[in-house]
Amino acid sequence: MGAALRLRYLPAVASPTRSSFAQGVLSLAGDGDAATAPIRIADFRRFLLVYTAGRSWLWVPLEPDVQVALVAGAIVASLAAAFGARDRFAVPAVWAALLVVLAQVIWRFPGTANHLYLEFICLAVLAVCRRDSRGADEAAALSALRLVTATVLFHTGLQKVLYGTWFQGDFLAFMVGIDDRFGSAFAWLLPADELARLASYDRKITGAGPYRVTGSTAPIFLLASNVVWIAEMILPVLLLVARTRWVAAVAGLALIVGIQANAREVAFGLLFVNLLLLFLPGRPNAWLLPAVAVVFAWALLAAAGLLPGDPVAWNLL
Amino acid sequence: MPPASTRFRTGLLAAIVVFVALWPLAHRLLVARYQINPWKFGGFAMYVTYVSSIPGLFQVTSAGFRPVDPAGLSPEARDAFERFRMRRSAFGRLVDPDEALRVVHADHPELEHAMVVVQRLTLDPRDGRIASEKETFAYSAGEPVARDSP
Repeated sequence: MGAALRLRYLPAVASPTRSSFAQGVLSLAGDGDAATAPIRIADFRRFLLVYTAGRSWLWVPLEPDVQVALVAGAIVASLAAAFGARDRFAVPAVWAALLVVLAQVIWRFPGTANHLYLEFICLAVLAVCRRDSRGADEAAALSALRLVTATVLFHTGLQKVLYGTWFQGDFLAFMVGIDDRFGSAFAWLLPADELARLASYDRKITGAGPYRVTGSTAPIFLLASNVVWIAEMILPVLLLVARTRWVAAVAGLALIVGIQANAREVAFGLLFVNLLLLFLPGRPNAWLLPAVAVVFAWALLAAAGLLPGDPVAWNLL
Repeated sequence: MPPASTRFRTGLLAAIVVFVALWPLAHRLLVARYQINPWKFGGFAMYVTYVSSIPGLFQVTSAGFRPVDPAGLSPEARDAFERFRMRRSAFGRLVDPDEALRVVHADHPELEHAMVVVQRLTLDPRDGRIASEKETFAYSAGEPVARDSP
């Protein structure tokens, strides 16, 4: 993107006199209005701290061997969520949550889930941010979070291209065959005998397959498979252009909801939906916060056996 | 010109963004070179392919190879082999079974000559079928003597 285009759409964090490389990078996703950035960042911070606290508590009943450490981490994360709701305590609250998540990243390594890395990155961005009377710091943080969102979305598409398993629908057909989440999601499209064929292969045997959909509905299945990676690579570009940002954010939300209908990676979904909301006007993160709190409250009660559901199956940890 | 502290923080934010932009590419190279698990390590390559590493332990005798059931090993040897299995599943070729086989041999000297075969299963985009390749590690008295990588 050229300098002229950047200045036209995204001048919020650019210095009027001299633009460094860092400012140039961040200007790629600037808001154009530093006045709203502090509110947007505060809303996202409140969401992220609630998310970290809720997720941290969900570990506790599942890992009795390290329960004391997990309870301590969850208490710290909860205090961070409670105090971090106020701008005054934002910095120490974010740093406390960052340390809790860092401990979780290390504890789970090398099995650390990618959404935990993404959560850590988002907290790191917020930890760098300071309250600024001009809103410049918050505008820079907002730009950074948006760029992280667009970059991660782009890479999820690029990786599908680099591994080559989505062009012919192979990976999607494989997941339909081995995983009930995907099998039930595509039951409306694929005939029962085709679903049975994909499920009949033993993936531990060399040559098992082919994991390719055939029959009259195959073109629709192939279209769905290819729309995913194409959208994941095009939407990030559209998110960075002010004129198409709103449409791209809505399309991105639809894409994430569609993917979640199959994958049910609720932790990743909640985090990414809130990141995409940073591209929309108004205060959508604040509007969604009660729903996020309800999801975690439900999951905690489900983990305690008081409500139906399985937070592990929802990939909410 | 913004104050130095603001410039420093702006630089940090840009560094985070640049890292997020570049790491998945390095991650893809690490997967190709060392077969690390594409689903792990923050490369955002989850749901792109199927990968499974299955290590098998064999006793080498004059009559040939005999599979060894890890369940029949001592608890220490079993744990060491299981640890290798899990680390191999994540780190790929960056992890070899040398340490595990030392522990196995210390507790089971009858396994004078042993072999570990790691079978790696993937989804082949050329035909949509499960493909596999094997890497073999040979040991004598718990020490590595040969390695055959594809």
